[in-house]
Amino acid sequence: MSVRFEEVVVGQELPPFARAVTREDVKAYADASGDQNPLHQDDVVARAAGFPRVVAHGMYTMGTLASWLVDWLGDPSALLRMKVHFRAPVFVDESIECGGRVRSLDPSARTAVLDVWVRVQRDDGVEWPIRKSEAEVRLA
Amino acid sequence: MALNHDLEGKTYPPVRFRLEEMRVRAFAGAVGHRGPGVPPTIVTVPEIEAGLSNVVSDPELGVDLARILHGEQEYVWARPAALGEVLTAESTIESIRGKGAMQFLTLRTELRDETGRVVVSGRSTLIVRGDE
Repeated sequence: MSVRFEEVVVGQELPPFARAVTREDVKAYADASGDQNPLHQDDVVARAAGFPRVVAHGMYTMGTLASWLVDWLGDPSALLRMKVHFRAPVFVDESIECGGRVRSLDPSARTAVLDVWVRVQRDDGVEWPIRKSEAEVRLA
Repeated sequence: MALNHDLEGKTYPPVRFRLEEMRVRAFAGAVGHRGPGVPPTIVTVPEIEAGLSNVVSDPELGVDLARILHGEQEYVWARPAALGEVLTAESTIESIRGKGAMQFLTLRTELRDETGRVVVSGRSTLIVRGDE
C-alpha cells in the first residue's frame, strides 16, 4: 500500500516512530554491517572517547530512519534520495524518535521532499542526533 | 596533522559485494526494516569497504579511525538493490577541506550492477579531528 500524491500536503507531519536502542541491536548492526569499531561495543573505549557509554553507529540511526520512511511509503523503490547530518551521538539504552514533515511537492514528477530528523529525550532536554536532513520520495 | 589536499581525486580499487540473503536479513533486522525488498542503506557495507577502510589504511593520508566522526551521509538510489545481486563499489576522495582541529574528507562512492549501471551513489563526509 503506497502513499498517494493527492493524500499529501506541504507542512504535513509523518506519523512519528520510536525505537529503543538496545545493546543487542547495536551489536547486531555491528555484525551485519561489518563495522566493528569498539566505540560501538565497549563502554571502556566509549568512556575514553568522552561518552558515558557505548555509542550507536550513525548508520544504525540513519538505517532506522530509512526503514521508517520505507514503512510509511509502503514501497522500498519510492525512496529516491536521503541526505542526513549527524549532529549528536545516540547511546545504547535510550530511545530514538524518527520524524518528518513534507517540505515541498512536485506535481509533475509526483515526488516530495521531506524534512527528516531523529531526536532523543534526555534528562537535560531534547537532543537531535539527525537534524536539518532531507529525503526525496516518489508518491503513487 | 593536516591532510594532504593533493589526494583529492584519488580513487581506490573497486570492491565486489553480493547481497546474500543471510546478510540482508541480518541487516534488515538490525535497522528494523520490515516488509519486502532490501533495506536501502545496506549499500553502506560495500561503501565502507571501498572507501573508509581504504582511507584509514592509506599511508598517504595517515588518519586514525579513532579520530574520525561520521558527519554527513547522502544516498541517491537509481533503483533498489536486489537480493542476490552483485554490486561493485568504487570510492573517490571528492574533497579535503579545513585544517587543524577540524578537517573534512568527502568520499564519493558509485555502486554499479553487473551491466555497469549505477544503482546507488553515496557521498560520505568524515570529520577528522586534529591534535588540538
